[in-house]
Amino acid sequence: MSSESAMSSESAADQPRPSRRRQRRPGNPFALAHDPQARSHPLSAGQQRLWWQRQLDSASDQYHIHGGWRFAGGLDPGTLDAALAALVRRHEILRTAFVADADGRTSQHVLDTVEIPVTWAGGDWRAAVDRAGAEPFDLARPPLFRVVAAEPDDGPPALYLVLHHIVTDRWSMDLLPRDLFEFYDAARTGREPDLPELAVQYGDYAAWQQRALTAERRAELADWWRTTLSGQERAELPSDRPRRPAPDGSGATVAVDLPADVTAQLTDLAWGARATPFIVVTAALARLLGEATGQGDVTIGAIVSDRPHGALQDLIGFFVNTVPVRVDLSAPGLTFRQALTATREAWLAADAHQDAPFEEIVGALRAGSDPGRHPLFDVAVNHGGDHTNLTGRQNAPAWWRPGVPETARFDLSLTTMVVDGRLRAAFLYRPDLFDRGPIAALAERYLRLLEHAIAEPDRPMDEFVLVDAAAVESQDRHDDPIPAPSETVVELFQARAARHPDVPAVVAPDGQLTYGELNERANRLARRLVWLGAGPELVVGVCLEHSVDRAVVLLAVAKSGAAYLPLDPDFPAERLRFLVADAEAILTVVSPALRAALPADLGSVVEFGGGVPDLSQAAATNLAPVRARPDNLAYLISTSGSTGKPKSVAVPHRALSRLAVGAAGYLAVGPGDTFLQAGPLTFDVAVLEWAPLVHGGQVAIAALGTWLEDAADVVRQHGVTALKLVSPQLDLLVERDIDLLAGLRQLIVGGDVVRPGSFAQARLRLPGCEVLASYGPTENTVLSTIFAGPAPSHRVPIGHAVPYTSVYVLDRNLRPTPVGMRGEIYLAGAGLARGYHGRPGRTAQAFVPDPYGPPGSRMYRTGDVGRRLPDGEIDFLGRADRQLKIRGFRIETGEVEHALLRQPGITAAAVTRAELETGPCLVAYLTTATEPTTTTEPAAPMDQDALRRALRTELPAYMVPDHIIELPRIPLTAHNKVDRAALPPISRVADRPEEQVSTVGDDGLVSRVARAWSEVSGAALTPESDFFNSGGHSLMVPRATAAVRNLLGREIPLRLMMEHRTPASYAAALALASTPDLAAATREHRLVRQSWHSAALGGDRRVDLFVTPGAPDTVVGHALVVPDGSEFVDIMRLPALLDRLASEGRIGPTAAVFLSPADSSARRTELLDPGYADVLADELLPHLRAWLGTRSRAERAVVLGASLGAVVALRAALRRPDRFAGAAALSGPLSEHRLGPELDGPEESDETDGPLLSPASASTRARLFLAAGDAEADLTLDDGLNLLEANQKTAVELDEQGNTVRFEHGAGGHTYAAWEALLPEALIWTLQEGTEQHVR
Amino acid sequence: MFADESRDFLVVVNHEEQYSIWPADREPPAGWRTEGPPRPKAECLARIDREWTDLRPLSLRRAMDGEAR
Repeated sequence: MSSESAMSSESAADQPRPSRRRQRRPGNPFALAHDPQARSHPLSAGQQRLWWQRQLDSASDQYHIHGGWRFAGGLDPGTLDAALAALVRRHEILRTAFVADADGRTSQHVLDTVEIPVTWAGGDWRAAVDRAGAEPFDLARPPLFRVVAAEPDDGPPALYLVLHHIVTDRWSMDLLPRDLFEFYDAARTGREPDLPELAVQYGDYAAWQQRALTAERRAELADWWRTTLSGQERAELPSDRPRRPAPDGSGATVAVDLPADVTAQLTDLAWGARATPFIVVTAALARLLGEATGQGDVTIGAIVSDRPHGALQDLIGFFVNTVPVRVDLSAPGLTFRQALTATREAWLAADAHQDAPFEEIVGALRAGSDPGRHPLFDVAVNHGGDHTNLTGRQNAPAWWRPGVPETARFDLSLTTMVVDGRLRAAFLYRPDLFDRGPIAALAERYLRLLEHAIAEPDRPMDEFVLVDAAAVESQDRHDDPIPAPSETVVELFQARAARHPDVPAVVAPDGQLTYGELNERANRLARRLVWLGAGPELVVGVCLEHSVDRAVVLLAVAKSGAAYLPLDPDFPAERLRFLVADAEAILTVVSPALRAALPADLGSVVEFGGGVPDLSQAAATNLAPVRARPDNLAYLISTSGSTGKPKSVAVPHRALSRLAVGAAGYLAVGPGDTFLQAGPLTFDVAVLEWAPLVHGGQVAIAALGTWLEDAADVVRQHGVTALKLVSPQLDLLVERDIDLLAGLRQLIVGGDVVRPGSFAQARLRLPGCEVLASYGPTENTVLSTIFAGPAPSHRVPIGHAVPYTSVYVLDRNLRPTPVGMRGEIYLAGAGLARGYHGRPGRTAQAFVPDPYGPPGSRMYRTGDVGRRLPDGEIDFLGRADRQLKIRGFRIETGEVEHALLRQPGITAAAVTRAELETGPCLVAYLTTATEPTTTTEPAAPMDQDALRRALRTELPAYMVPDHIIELPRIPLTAHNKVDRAALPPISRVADRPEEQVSTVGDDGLVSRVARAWSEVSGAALTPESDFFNSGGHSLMVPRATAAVRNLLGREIPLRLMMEHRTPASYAAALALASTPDLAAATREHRLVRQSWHSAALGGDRRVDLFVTPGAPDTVVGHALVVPDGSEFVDIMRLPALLDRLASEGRIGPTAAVFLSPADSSARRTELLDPGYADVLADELLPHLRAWLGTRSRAERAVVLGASLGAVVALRAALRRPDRFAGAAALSGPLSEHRLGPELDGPEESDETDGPLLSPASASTRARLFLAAGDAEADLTLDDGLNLLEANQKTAVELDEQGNTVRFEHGAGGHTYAAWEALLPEALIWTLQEGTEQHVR
Repeated sequence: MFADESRDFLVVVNHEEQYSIWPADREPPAGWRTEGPPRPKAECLARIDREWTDLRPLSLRRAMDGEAR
């Protein structure tokens, strides 16, 4: 098992799939027979799964099965009791308890009798029914079955039954009323019941099933599943709400019906294709999922009834199997008949291997285990058409459905059944993830797909038209068919200037210009530029400061007919040179103050600004005719290539006019409005400044400061009414004080991901201000969509198309995706750029033929993923290239980054995927606040465990980063985007030598957990290995937990492993969980943790100081020194024990000092250092005394240690009798190490460290307690002795040397639990006479 | 679809002599004619880089040329 599971899933993906030769499910080779003696059985594979689910979430009622029946003839309590008793007698499963033994192994025990509680609720049955359904069952205490007797107003009395799924299934819920009613009727009429004999019981079946599942068979099945499912990607539907760590289990249903005639054709089609209706509905579901998720290869969970033996047909019990079916329908041009064949083959193969216990499939795939999510698929199918109605006899009870809340176990499950000749498809979904609208749209589409598929099974499915006309119309609702205006901004502005020359046009820190003034200045400069050679299709670079002249220059360039190329003075010289050369700019206009920032060799440069040069001689009239045509370029904007050189987007006047004119439809840019955008000229958002200039409004040009510190002043000073920000700026303002912006009439927030919290805050705190979100790539001229709130709580949509613009959300076949489903966003219309300047290939690749626009038109591929909401707005779901898949989960890195940024102290984050030897993993890079915060504490290294815990409350486990790396800063590209290529590779960070776990005594808790888990999973785990990615699966959790529980001797919840999946994190959580015991001591300052500096050891160590309770002047007569202290404090809780012993009067007032090694890897070296005893004697003990002050009366101390610590304890007592009176040594690998000087060979190096002592004299005679467990006879030491013998032998030797020795051995092993049990006696004995008395 | 490196594409041209690419196994939308046989994407783009030397739409080129004359 271990060697196979060590094979990585990647390499399995490279293997050819197994041959398609039809395999059949092999029969069980053993006979199924009743064993009347057996009262205890193993759990069936399915029951194990349910048992496990129950352990994980003890409050959950997701696995309750309900049923209600009316009793037309009335209900008599006595008769019902008799019938229920008979029913329980007949079916052993109804009186079975499910228990786990000390090692975590489960079994089911049949009890002789169990009474079924009946609640006689009468007319007030509602509460009783709800309570019966909601209250959890304890699987160890049958009955897992409750009954409510009700008297509904609308008919005869009824019984409502709630059972745990582990004892029943859907089929059983047909058998149960049949049997119950027969017993009831027989009891009522005094006749013998007439029911088929039960040859076997459920326990017989479980034993029979488990017997056939040999280790060999399991391995073979696991192999097949690994090969079959490896590389599968989750078909994940886009959700309306983010996935929470723990789903609430609630469900809701949308049902659609297929007409009767189509249902009949469906059956015909199925049989004609040698398939079943189940295969037809599954094939259609696979196709639907493929369309909805954009992937053709999907895995669906088939929920099937599995009673593989005739003798099982009349048994109540859990006979349901969940079988993953992987269907690949990605081949282009596939017909439905072909899809049917593919689905049939996939199902038959899966069916042949359905004996594999589900959890072993999960384990084989290392699919991990996320408590909130199904491990292999999110969508299930269940065809309920083939169950029989067994209650069809006379007088039979009729169904009673009182309407109880539904529960959903999957994101989405489709249940089909034939009702009155019509196929009903019921989609059960999780309302905590999805709105009803998208699911209803999906269900409608499913129906349409089935209709088309059945009508034309041999037509390629790609040709089906599944979106009806109304839906298409709603998609295009916001798209404007009227062609954009053909006038350029020059003509539009000149018209305004002619009409209202005295209206203010631009305001900046250096003054204000009216339309007339702006026009005249621009005309003069334009003439100068023309004289310098500017004209249509030529490029003029501009590098301008915030002043009114900026507007003059841009208008002048447009009037000259040329296109402007904004340059940022902060760009590196090389980039500036490249941009100018690449655009073949004929000259660059620069503000005088910025001249020095430009490289000297930038070609022709013209300074303009502050009245220089004097152009007053030039004519101020408009240049006529207007020099630029609508198709001539208006400007270039360079965009960062994530790789290689920047490229410039070339935008024609037609597109600029489309923006400027259309803006009136959604931006406040008319007369009386003052518009300000807070970005530099090099961001295309600055292009929006044209909008007020063509609508009679005013443009404000001002710098808001890097941190928007001047925003409020600028807004007030210039009377800004409309402000455009990008989303990080909004976050900043909301954090600071957005109220400062009061008075704004409109706030537009750009950027594809706007934080919903900030958006809502802005709406709330700026009353009277319209808050908009906008989206648009440069390639479609600044803005493509606009959204006007309110936004849903988790995501701000990007909205709908702005005027003269079409937005498509298309699947990978370029067809519109159904409402609610993920697709790529494409943009079309008058806003399209000409292309990338001088890059035909790049242009052709990004601007592609538009199948939905006028003939010959183009559309732009944004590379963004989105979906259309039922109201026509568009939801942005991320960059196509930023969605990661790890272990089959789709992860939007932006979502993880946002979660990180919500944590206090984190200032920037970038999340990415990395490949390690152990497989792909998620890595978070982040920076933390460096400036001192309000607290006086210096910046400490981030607590990664705390961060992970916090993230787990917000994100599903698979989205919590595997590695978190702090950087001084996140590398950025020239456009302030994360430079992912420059992030340090994880391999370098993670590349550290694994801890070596070697000899017996050298175990910290972390390595002990690692070893315990390794034994269970069969793979060698390091402290950082994720159990579930290292061959472990959830069914192993009880055993792995039991192994650690046996080590610690106390209960540990199974859940802990789901939350702490690596030994290191688990051990830390265990230590944390034990502290409540010690809280009192900590509160009273009797237990103090310090960072302590040891001169001899070099560096700081954790030290815990402790004293038993007492008055402030109580003399403390005993002292205890504990090397390896953290384990005694955190795990064995020694301080709590000392408190107890002291309060019981079994020890006197005692102080203790606990010293912990620097870290676990250095532990062994440190403890065995020859000077260590002197550290304890000369540094640590005085430290304890100093802490105690005048209360300290202990002349000598006792040293206590376990395992390697036992060696240290004995050494200290034997080598430093001046300081130590005795030692308690538990489970020490004693014969491996030198102890006292007497036992040393003459050549030993540490001999010189202290004076040679002769055999114990009276004053040096030590009181030594040695103990080992019988189970430690299995631990062989280096010298061949086992640990128990070594202790015995050492005890004898020490005794012979004159020490007072006590040796204990008994049950127990090398575990914390065994040591904890020994501690009271060891302490009482050594402390009693070990200190004071000896000295005096 | 356009990101798929494994499939073949066609070089297509519209009435404005703007170039683009289109999956070879599909009919190009109305208003686009094909140039040459299906080939890998990189070859299509290389060809476009060679042939589409003037990114101005044809109508603009004609208008500007007319003006120049």
